[in-house]
Amino acid sequence: MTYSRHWESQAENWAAWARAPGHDSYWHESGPALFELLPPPGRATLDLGCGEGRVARDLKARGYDVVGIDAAPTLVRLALEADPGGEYRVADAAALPFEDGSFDLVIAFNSLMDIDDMPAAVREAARVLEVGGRLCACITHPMRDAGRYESRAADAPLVIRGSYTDKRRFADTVSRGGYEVAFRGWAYPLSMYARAFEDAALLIEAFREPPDPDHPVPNFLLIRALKP
Amino acid sequence: MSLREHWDEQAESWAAFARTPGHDFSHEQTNFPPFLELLPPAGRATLDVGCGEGRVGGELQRLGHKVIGVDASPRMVEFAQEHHAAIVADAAALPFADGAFDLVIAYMSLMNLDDMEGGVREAARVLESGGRFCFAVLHPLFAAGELLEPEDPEGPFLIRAYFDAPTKVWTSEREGITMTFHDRCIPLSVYAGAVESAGLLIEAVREIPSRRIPRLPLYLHVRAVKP
Repeated sequence: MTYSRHWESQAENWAAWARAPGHDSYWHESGPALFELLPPPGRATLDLGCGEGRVARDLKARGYDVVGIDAAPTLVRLALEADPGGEYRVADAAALPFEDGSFDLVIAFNSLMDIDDMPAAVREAARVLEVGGRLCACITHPMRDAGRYESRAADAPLVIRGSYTDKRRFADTVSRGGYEVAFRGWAYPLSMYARAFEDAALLIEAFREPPDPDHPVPNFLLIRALKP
Repeated sequence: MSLREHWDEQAESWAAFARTPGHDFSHEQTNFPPFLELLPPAGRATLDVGCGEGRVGGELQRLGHKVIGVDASPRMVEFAQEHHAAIVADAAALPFADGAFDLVIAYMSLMNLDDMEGGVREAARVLESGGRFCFAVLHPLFAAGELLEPEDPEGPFLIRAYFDAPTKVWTSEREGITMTFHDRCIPLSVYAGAVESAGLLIEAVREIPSRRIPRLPLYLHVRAVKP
């Protein structure tokens, strides 16, 4: 099964999870780090892998003019229902239905791991950016993805038993607070993301590692890149 | 003791470590060949920040670079002068004009600077527009963690701290050469923050796997451009 079909199957679960205030780290960890990293609102923003639309809605509230795309039709329908005046489309991140240079900002918030062809998505993001535009991505931190916390102790170390350096599939079904989502996607080392940016001729301006208040290793890595 | 004093004290040991063929196999086999591939071709003038005893600058000179090295340790600089031009200088206060170089390298030296951010800021200042800053460091993941059983490279690797990981002090004793290392763990975002504050843009990031633990990255290589 492709990851877009997987996320189609999880669409209702994901919307319930994502819309429960304070339920996941978006509300206090990855979301604030993203908004701190972004350039100010400009001409046109693309939300790549918009899911049920919470990031796009929060961007619009901050003054960004946003178009969202996702490969899962049910997620796009849910995004439209929550924001009836918004523009959300079903599209493949690796073949975007936009002209070159259509946007001055592309956001990929925790979506590059879930796209079947990550390098092609980065290449397409670069294509639809205008010169001087930015790609801002939040990904699961590659180091965090390589290990697990094996006890609930406050000082539990991150334990890496397998590989960091290979491209791997991850699968983790999480039940918490009455919500359940089956997370599926790719885990890549940092250099595979960086190589995709390099091959797309993007220059990295910033890396951010927001600390996890409960554990030693950051959960997320944020990247801001420039199309020169 | 400052890192500068530590390295000055270790200069003779370090020269023996670095210059005995086959002794520093990690440099020869794992770290240096891909670092060379990351560098732009020889240009106008190359600065080696934290040149140590000079083996890296010496190799670059053989490849056509016009190299000058700086190191904070006077004894290291004496060794380096056997390979190429070198002067004693503080990496955070370089005695060169703005734009004096088209390439600045820092090979396994940023972790050893007392003021890493100051060193990167100065590297950017002495670069001309369009010039490159290339550095190799111990990978932050590798620097932060350790094998549960040191003799079992296939076993669990534990990271207990990342943003405030303690410096690992360890001594290599082989072939009659004793060398003590102080491996600081500097997070990726701290290196990147120094590059960002210096106004440089990252073109390329490479992760070099460990030979002993191929599933983990041992070195991090970065190439950045001054816009």
